[in-house]
Amino acid sequence: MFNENSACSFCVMPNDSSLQEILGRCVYCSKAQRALEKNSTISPFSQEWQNYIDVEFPKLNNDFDAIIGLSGGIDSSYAAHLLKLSGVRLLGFHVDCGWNTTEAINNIGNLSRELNIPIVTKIINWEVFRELQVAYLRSGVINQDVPQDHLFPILTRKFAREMGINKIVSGWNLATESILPVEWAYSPRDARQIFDIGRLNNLSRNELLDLGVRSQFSEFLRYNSLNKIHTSRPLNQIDFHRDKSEEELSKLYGWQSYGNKHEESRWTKFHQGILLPEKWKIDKRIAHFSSLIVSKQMTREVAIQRLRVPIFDAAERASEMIFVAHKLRLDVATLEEFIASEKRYHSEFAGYHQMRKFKKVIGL
Amino acid sequence: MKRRIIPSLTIINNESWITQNFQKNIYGGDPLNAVRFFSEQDADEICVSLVDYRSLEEQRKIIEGIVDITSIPLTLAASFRTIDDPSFFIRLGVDRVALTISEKNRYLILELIRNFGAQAVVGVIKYDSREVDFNHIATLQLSSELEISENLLIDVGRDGVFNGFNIDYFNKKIAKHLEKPCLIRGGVQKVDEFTKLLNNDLISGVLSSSYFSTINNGSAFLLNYVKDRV
Repeated sequence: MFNENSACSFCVMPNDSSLQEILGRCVYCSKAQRALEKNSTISPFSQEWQNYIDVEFPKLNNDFDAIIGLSGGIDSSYAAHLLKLSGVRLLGFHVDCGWNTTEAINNIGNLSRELNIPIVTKIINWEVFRELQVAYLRSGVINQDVPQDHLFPILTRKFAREMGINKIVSGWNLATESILPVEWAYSPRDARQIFDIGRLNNLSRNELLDLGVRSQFSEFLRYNSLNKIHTSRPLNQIDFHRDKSEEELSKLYGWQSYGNKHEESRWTKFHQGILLPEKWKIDKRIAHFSSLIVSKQMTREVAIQRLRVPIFDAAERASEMIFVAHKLRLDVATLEEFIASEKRYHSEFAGYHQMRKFKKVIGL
Repeated sequence: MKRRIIPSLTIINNESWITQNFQKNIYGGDPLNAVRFFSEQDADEICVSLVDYRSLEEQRKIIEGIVDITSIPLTLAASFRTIDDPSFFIRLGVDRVALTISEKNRYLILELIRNFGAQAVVGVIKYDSREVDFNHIATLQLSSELEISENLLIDVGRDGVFNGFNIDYFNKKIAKHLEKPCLIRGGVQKVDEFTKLLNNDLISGVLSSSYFSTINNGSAFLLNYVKDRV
């Protein structure tokens, strides 16, 4: 959790003495700063931008130039707005895993209507997905977002291949996501671990394969080498400013703000607002705000002020717990137990980390 | 009574489905998120239909969840067989139960009205506008005999086909037999259709499942609610 005394003097990340400090700044923000400096910043709709668009999205003999994964969040929405107005023929793709907030749903609908982007939605088999989420809760590992983070890109690539489109647009950007400590997360690509944790709730390998779980290796073979499906991240080309973009989109399309980063999903809201702070004593906003401080979109004072206010107050927390419990078909008491239960580490389960040992042995 | 626009959810085996002519058509995933969406959008009312109605036990959890997360009026439609199940749901917090008007259900409906009042029961009449004549006049008579407060007329032929509500059929064949305003469902396609239908004195509310769950005439599943656009 946030502690002003031990925070870095430039951003708000915890500045452990074990981590080397360069010029009075912690490793996180100095690293992020260097990455951002390398990033090109061209202004949207300039000649340079148009050149980038022409190279990145060549007009092939297709109905569409690229697929854009729309989550209803600001990053993908702004990318859609920029590209569509630059003349890229976009096909929207939305994966619904049952946790969309009202704002996210409205944003996708409004963008599709106002920008005239046709949209296709994929609804994940809710019963199996729910079981997988309960399995993850039962496992007690830190990254509870693995099921959705694993499936979204895989389903998007699969859809791209079905449509014969080899370009996927992602809203990922350095400006707002440059900082995330490795110990706060775990790679969602680890299919082996998903199979292992799924077993905790009696999910068979076949059920998970049907859901869309794929190993990194098969994904690499299928899409990188055989079908050559590429991902572009247009927001990294520009000086992406979160608040300004929100303002712009709300004026143009009635775009609705949904609070903190990634909270377009109710699950993420629960994960970042209740589970992580209470079980792991981690406030993910620290990393998000630090990214914004490095890209000069937020001052350190504002970040500290906002971090002092908890994500949920007691009443909100109670109603959120009831909602999540009902969705997962658990009792609130069971959900509380999962939060209070012992912490488990991803390395305690099967996964690709075991392969690393193997690689070491054979000298790779 | 206020004229209402009512999103409707069809739940089959704990999952939501969009139907076409009352057959499974588009998978909708989890119904609870949809209920939360409609309630945050301040819908006038929500109607939930349990299609594979088997027993109280199996459906209890999902209805409990729906009642817990929404505070807007909730109508529950199912083919109830005994008085226990609808009574249980009403005590749980469901505002009204909807069941088919038929001779078979006569005593069940009477019993429900006696226990919970006429406002707790919606009488359902399913017809098909592809047929030439409206042959449910006796059912409408039974409805007024049982003193049911509101009827729901469902056009099965137009359900989920995005053809627009068959208002000609309604005006020509049904309107003359109606004693009081009723709810209608089946085929609504455009936003302005809601406004037009609600201006009709014989229509007290419009239900739709497909319209509120899809965009671009059913091409993609995406929830939406029209209140601010009507």
